[in-house]
Amino acid sequence: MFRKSGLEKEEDTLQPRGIQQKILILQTITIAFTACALFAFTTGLAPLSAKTATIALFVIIAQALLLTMLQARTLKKDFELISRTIKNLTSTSPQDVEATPKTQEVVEVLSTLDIETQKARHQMENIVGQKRELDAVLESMAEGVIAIDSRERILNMNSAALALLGLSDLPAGKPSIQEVIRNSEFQKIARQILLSHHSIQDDIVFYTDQTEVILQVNAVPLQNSEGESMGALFVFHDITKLRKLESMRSDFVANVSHELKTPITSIKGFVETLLDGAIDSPADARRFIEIVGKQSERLSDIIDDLLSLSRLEQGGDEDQISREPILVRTVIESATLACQHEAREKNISIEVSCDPSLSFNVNSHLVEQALVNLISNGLKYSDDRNRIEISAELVQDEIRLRVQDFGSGISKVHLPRLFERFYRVDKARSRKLGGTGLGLAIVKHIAQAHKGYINVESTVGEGSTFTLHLPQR
Amino acid sequence: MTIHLDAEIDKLKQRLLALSALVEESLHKAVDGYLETNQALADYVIDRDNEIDRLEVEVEEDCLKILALHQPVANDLRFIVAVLKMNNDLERIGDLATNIAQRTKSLVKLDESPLFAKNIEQMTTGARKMLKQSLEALIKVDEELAKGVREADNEVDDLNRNTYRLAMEKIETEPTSLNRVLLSLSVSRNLERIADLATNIAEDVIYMISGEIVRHRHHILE
Repeated sequence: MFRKSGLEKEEDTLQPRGIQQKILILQTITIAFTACALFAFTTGLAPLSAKTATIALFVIIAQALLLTMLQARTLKKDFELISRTIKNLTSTSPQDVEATPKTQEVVEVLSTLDIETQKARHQMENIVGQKRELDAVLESMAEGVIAIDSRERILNMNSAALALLGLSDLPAGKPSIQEVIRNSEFQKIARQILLSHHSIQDDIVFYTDQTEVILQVNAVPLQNSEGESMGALFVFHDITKLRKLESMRSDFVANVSHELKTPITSIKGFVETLLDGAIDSPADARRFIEIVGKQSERLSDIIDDLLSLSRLEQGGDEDQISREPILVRTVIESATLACQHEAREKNISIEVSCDPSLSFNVNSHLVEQALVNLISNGLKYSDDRNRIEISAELVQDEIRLRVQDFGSGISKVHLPRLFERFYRVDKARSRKLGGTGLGLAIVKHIAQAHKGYINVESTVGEGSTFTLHLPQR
Repeated sequence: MTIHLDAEIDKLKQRLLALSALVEESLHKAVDGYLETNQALADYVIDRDNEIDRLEVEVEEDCLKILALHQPVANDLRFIVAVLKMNNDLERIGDLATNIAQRTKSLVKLDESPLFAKNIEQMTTGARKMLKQSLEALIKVDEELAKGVREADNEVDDLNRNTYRLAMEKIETEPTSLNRVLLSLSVSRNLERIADLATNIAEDVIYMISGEIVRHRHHILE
């Protein structure tokens, strides 16, 4: 079919000819020569002698050789052209092959090759594009994704997975999961899924340098099109916050009912005893009624605290607290005065260090309440004859009020939850020491209502430091 | 043959790292348990030690199998020898973590809080970092990282000495707290030993990479 198009442009000298055509020409020339020689010989133009015959033969052979050589050269060039074109096929930066082949068949090969190259390149572009899309999807996911092969080596890991596990980058090559994720629970799941081929879901605690994260891990076996196992896929979901909220809520409900229930049970019990006859014995009756009075006071304390908390929350949200400029020192002094009685009972000294000229713009009543809560907290957890230090300083438009005690200190596990309502570090002990369990929650909300915050540092056995950060204006 | 050997060595490495993950976690939980006086964590660590022991035996058996079947030379041989030694060290760290968990249980029984918490916390951070770094050196085949571990050991040693000083002061001022002081001292000492073992692991890594035995030759550092 290509031949036809070649024939159409017969007169074009540059037009390539087919190999058959060329051989035909060659043969024609050879036959013509031979015929000429034979003709000369038969007509007697050239008397036959051994010499002339040999010369004629040589001439024929020589011209045949010459023509074949020429032909071989063009063929060689054409084949070089083919090999260059094929090389272009796989190279990423194809160069234009300018030269045109001289043999018809090569032209055909090349043109087919050209069409196929275009097709292949198109497919390749599609594949690369798809892979990029997949990569982009994988990378933009909030969930961590890890794929492993059947020998527990990591095939793919997205950046969310790296971030969740606190890793900076993936080692080169195909690292095993043991190299990258040093968590025995996770390694166990990986082993299990490669053995059982059943998907697994579990919550695993991962430790990064300082923090711990709880990740929900969904593991599914990977199969190829023949249904053979070829590894596993893990999807990680960060549920740390969710867990924290869950435990906060359930603890809150449990604690609040406990805190309210204790005084009510006690009141109910003593009232029943009184009704059952104890009321007739004046000494007992008096003691019981005193207890009932004390418990109802406690109940009303808790309710007062809860109310002030909700007021603070509302006020803080709507920015409704009234502020006035006041000397920091005045607030600290009135707070220490309120705690003086308690301190004297335990023989604890309260030391104040504060620049007398320092002032801030706050709701003095609330800040005083916050300080009283912090100080009485410190007093509760300090041994007798200890001391409490209160200091105030101005750091970049921010007043820092520090209340430091040298008492029992708080273990690291409790620190993040310390400011939750009704959160108790040591349940038995705190209730013995009294308090509503709301003191620190109130302090936190007072700080927030002032657009400030509170933090705590503590070491077990050495004491705790609470710092109230309040904006000066 | 070499393909088999390579696969076996990869498997061995995975198993050793699985062991190290267990040990790292044990150490972490043991100290957390101590600082929080948490009986549950202590029990967990003690329970986990069986698994560590089992894995140690498995790693050792793997090493022996490779030595017998493949008769490795040069790099591979050094790797196997280093794994044999690291395996031992890791198991010992597991034991020391268990010791700390035992101290926690005594503390729970006494119903007391731990002493020198700050010091012990710092030592733990140091020891854990060293262990992590030595394992990282093994994974990344990084000699410099391994050398860094040896330097960090001094810090933990200093902290341990500091605990002793604090302990002496405490006994003088408050003789009634003797029990707590002794428990805290024991924990501090165990941590110091753990840091030493982490150094050993780092030295094994250096041996594995360079073929040079750097143990007992601390002047090389300078």
